[in-house]
Amino acid sequence: MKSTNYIKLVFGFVFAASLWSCADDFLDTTPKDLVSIDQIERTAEVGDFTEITNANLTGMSAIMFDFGLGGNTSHDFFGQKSIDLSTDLTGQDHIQFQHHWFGFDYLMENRNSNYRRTNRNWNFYYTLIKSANELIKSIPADVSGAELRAHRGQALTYRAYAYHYLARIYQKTYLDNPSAPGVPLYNEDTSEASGRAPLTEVYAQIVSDLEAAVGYLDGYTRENKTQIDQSVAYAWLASAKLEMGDYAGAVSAAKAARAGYSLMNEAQWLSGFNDISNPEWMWASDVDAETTTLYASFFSHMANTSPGYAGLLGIYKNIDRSLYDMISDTDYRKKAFVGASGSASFPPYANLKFQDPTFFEADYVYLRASEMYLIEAEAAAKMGDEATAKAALTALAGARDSEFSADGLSGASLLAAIQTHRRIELWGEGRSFFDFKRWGWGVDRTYAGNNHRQDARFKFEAGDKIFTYQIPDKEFETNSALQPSDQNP
Amino acid sequence: MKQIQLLFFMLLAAVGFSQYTVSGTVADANGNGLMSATVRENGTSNGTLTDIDGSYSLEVSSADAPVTISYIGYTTQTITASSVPSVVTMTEDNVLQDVVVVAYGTQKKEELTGSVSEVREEVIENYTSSSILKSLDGAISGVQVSPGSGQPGSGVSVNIRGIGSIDASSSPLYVVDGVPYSGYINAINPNDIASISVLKDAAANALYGHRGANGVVMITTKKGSQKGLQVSLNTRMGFSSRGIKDYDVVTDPKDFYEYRWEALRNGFVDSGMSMDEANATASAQLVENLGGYNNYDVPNDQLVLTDGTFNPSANLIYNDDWNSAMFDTAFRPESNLAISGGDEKAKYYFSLGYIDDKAYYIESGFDRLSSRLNADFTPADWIKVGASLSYSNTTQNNPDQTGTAYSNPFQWVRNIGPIYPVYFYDANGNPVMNADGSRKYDIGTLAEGMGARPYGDFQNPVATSYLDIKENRNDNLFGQLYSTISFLNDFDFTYRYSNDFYDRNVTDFDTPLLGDAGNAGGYYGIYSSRNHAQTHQQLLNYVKDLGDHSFELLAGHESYDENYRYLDGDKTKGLIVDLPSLNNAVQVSSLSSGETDYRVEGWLSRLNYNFDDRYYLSGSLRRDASSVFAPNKRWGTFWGVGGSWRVSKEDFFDVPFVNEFKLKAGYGTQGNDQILFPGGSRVYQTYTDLYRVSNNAGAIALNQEWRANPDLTWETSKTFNIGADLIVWDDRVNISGEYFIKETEDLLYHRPLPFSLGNPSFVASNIGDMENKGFEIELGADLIKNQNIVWDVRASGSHYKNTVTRIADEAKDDNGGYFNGRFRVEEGRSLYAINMYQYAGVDPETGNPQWWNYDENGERTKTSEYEELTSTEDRQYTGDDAIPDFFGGFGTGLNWQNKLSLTADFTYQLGGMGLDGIYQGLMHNGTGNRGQNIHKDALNAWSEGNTSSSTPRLSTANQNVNSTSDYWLIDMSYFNVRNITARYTLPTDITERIKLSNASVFVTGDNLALFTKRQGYDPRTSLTGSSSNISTPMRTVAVGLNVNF
Repeated sequence: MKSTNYIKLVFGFVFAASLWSCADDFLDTTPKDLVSIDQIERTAEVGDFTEITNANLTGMSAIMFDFGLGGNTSHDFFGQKSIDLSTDLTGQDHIQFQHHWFGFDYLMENRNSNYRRTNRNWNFYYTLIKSANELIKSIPADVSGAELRAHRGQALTYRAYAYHYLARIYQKTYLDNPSAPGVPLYNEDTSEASGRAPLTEVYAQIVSDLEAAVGYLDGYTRENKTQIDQSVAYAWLASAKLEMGDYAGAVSAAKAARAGYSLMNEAQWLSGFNDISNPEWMWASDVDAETTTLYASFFSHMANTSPGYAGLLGIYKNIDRSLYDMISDTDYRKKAFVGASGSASFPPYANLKFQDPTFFEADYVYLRASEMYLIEAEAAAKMGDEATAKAALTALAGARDSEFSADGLSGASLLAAIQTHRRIELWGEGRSFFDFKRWGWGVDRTYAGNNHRQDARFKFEAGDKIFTYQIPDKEFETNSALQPSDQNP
Repeated sequence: MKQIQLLFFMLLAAVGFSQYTVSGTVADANGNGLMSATVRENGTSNGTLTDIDGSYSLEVSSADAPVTISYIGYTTQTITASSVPSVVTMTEDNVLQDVVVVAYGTQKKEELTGSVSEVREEVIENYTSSSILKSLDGAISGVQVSPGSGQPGSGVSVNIRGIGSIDASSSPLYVVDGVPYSGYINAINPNDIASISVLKDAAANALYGHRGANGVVMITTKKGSQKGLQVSLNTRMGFSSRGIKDYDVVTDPKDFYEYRWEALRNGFVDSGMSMDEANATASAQLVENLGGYNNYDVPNDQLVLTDGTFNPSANLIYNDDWNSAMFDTAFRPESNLAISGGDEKAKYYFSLGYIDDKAYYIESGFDRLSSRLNADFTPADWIKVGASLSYSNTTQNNPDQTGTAYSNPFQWVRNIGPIYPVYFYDANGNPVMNADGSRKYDIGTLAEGMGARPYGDFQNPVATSYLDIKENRNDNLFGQLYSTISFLNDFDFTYRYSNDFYDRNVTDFDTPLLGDAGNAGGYYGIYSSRNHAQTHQQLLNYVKDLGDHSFELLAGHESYDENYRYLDGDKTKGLIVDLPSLNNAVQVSSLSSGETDYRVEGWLSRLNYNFDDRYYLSGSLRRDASSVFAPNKRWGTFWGVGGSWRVSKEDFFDVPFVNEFKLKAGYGTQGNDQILFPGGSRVYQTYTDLYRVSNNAGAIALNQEWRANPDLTWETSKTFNIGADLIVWDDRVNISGEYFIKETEDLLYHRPLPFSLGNPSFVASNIGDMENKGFEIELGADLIKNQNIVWDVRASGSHYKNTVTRIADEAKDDNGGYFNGRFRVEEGRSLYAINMYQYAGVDPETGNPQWWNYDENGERTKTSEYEELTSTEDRQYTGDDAIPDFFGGFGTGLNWQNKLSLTADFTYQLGGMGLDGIYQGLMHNGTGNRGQNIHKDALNAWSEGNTSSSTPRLSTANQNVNSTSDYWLIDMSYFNVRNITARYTLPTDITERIKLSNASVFVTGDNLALFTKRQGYDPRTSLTGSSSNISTPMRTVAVGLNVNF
């Protein structure tokens, strides 16, 4: 080959290669792992906008039982159920047999601003609020499509539910001082940091969100219980009104909430609280083999019969003896606990309420119809409507205990019976911490014959600062609207 | 001006008096004629090339004219025309002695204006390591090498000149044979390396400015030479063992029982029991508390008596050592064969290498089969083409080393109580066998083990090490071709195209029989990925010598395209217990795939100017666009200028003992676009909100992972560097020193948003400035140098100081900074300034730990209530920094008659404070897991008879006993015996007789000793000195043989 041919050859090759790598769009890349907002918006344009809003709601529902939120992968945080467990352990009725994950909750010293617990709780609810606000913003209030109206209603319910928890974790009760500082309050139009709004404002938004949600969700039939329907909005409205002392509102919301649900029978009650198909469940997560968080899950920590922290490492979760003793022998719920003498496999008072026949694929329950009877009964009793209170209590307790009778109960004894049945019925479901606060009860783990761990035998009076978590340091570090004096004691 | 006049005069002279002819041949040392050597009248364009026999003829201006004879790879000679001999004998350049690899080319050392340091093959070949980067440790000033895990095949992190960034990657750019390398660094066989040079400042690396902010590591592989066929065989056989002793934990079961008894007893007292009751209860419950394990032949309640003393009549019936079951000396064979050679038309280098770098941890290691072919052809004197191709196949068997997981063997051995056996024993302490006659393992459960072991029940890492499969297979193919065309005398144009494939196949299998996935029917994880990077380079080079002036002008274009894709599937519930295939399991637990693209395109230019080999100037300019940023924020401009002055070349410089004295200075900018997610992976589209799609009960869930910042752009570093090189006393002593200031501006930073605005709780922003200032010294000396003995010493040292100069207002809390773990970042302080709760010693009254509690006025009191401490008031600067004060290496070599040589290398670090979290965990004093071991220091805990102890009282009840405070800080100073090698080279009369050109045998040891503040603590594990439960580095002792023929 002649040398001029060489040149042509080489230059041709070089030139082609140069051009090939310099295409105009060379530097424009398309996300193919995470997806971009542009891709999402385009999908919404060519497809159905409700697919996106539904995916946003499903995303919130995923956060409800997510592990590793915000990059934190401690095994004691997996969404709402970990908050349920940690608050339950910070009280009277629940016992952790060995010191381990959740150990400092049980030792009643996990509320400090520099601890992980308050940080995680705060981050969890505010992430839900952020998602809810974005969704609410994207669906106008006057939207007409039935599905979009339902999606707006669900987002409003999420927001209210999150604030309801934040308010009760980070302040004393509403009735203690309604104008006490609550938590920073954001709606769909807020993007600036804000300071602590008074509880009155927080609850005003909770109530207005839930009342609006009831409207938006009217007539909506959900696909499954991981979604929110009108009954869920009513349920949180009932809970919020009970907290606010609006007892009439609580009674009517609770009644509306439980309409259409039937109570569990004995076999169902003793089947482990693990299946979303349970007739009494109102709102839940549907955990499967792909979404399970394995050892960092509720049943790993709570189910003494499962091969997780509780069952395998012996970090058993047990019931307080005084509460156990209050369960009537004819009440089948007593069968959900190992008796005073223990069993071959478990220590005395170990719970068998939570069981998981699968490998951590058990579903999580957040709301049950039983609670609605109890809210109704408590609210009615507080407002002096004892007939309604007794009827509601009997509807539940009578189903659990064939010998139950509300005859002769009145005033304090009626309220006490309602309280006892609430503690028994909802044991382990994340209600006791807030109930004790609302009832003005302290914690006494020092009574004679108690079965609390040696190193956890504490007594705290009602209103002790131990029952109000401190706002995480990270909020103070990033929120210029907060001053150090805004911190809880 | 005078110079230029002179130049013109000379040109005129050349034109005017053409009247003398030089002719002859140019030959190599063996008398073979060299074709295409250049013969030129110095300072003119008048020249010629030799023909095929090496002969030439050239007419020059006068008999006095200087004639320059040059040939690539040989030392250029300039001789007066009348004195040119008929045969000019050229001597080969010892290429690697004088030329260093720099950005887009090579330069002679004396020409450098920037900061470049280098490690050569002679140094690399001593080390017994499968990683090329480990050879940088201590060898190059300004470079910190943190081996991280000592597991062979694991990554090494390299930091050049301080901390480059906060939320962007700090790792340097790796360039292999001229093109950026994104493959697996351990795929490269150290035996193939000719040199590794590190470009530290802007004058040196501004041409990689777009990705050079953290420095550039240039790796150059061996090439063929014109020496004819050479075969080199290099083999070594080594033994690897654990390099440093573990923490001094309790090993005697008796001590452990006694400790546990005391902690239990004190815990009972704390919860209100009387002392007598507590004593009795502790004795009664001790063994039960520990899961029912009793290593002695006395009843459980009589093991530790109620006065706290160990039962004197108790005899051990079993006592296993997890260390010896888990760790064993490993045999490490390595062999390399290289064939190289060539002539004036073609040069080649071909190699094959195999290494089985087994680790001392059972069932783990790294093996590599590597091959490389480098070929260069010169078909005509105006064209040169070449290609290089390397393939390597590596397999890493890598135990789980994640933090505190029970399945992490390194965490396990130091944390499990010494009473728990590896193997199963019956009640009398007799070993229990499996049906096949093998020893049965204890898995610590009541149902299938000896007891309810509180520490990691259902786990036995020795058993799972054999049963689990953690295999990481990599295929690495790296190929490039180039062509250089010379034209118009002074120009050449190079086109280079490279492909870099990095395919990974990972098997992550947990046995269904026990351990992590024992209850899930096994865990079957298969991950497969493919990374492909392509680089195109078009470089136009113009070189012109005009008398004393020489110019080199480079202009070019480069594009880089990296695509990564993966498929990751996990299942549980498998059938066959040792078959890690997805088809052997039925329950999908996760299935994902994805793809990322990263592209950069840029234009580059450089001018090097040299006057009379005395003054050097260089300037470079590069503009780059990165696909990471929004279209209007993609382009960044990076530049560098540098100059050097060889003072010793000046006439006025007349210091007889100084051979070379050079000053240099440079300034320039470099960029960084490697913004990361909080988890450490890169973000490829920073300008858009990014969401993750996930499954929630069969429905599509959408959650945000990244907040867009369309204004985000390049982080820029400005580096100023000055330095001096001095060579004295007949080249026997050389010293070089450099001082640098590196200012990073517009840091890529995760600006925190108000926490209550939800996740993601930050948005990436260009906020904040940081400065690293420091100096580096390298020196070498031949203390003795005569015909028989050469004894040299060398040393390097570096110091730098980091200062954060600007923090985003949004990131500042009310006190003008922010906490980052144990550090607090404030303007004017180091990024790693330690700010912690302050330990105030043990309360001699109660034995409780105390901390300093500050009030608003800064007055402090001691408290034993950790809960009372608040970060805003009670965390204080300790005055410490995680950055060491000084670090580097030194070494010495002794050579006797080129037959016997002995070299020793050491590395050291002075100062810096790390946090020893492992020690902290081992000092739980009873509050940790019941079955968790403790450090021997805890045995000296406070008690009523030992009130002056600095270790708090043992108790199961005092949860804050080892809470984080400055008590757990530890000095990061260390001294490491890095390598000692003794080599014997066979005398030439023997090698000649057996037809070898060269043969040597050697014995070498790596990582022979490490001295640190505390046994077990290795400050090299991380750059900030945090200890972690990862594989401690290996000590390897090897014997080897090198043969060349």
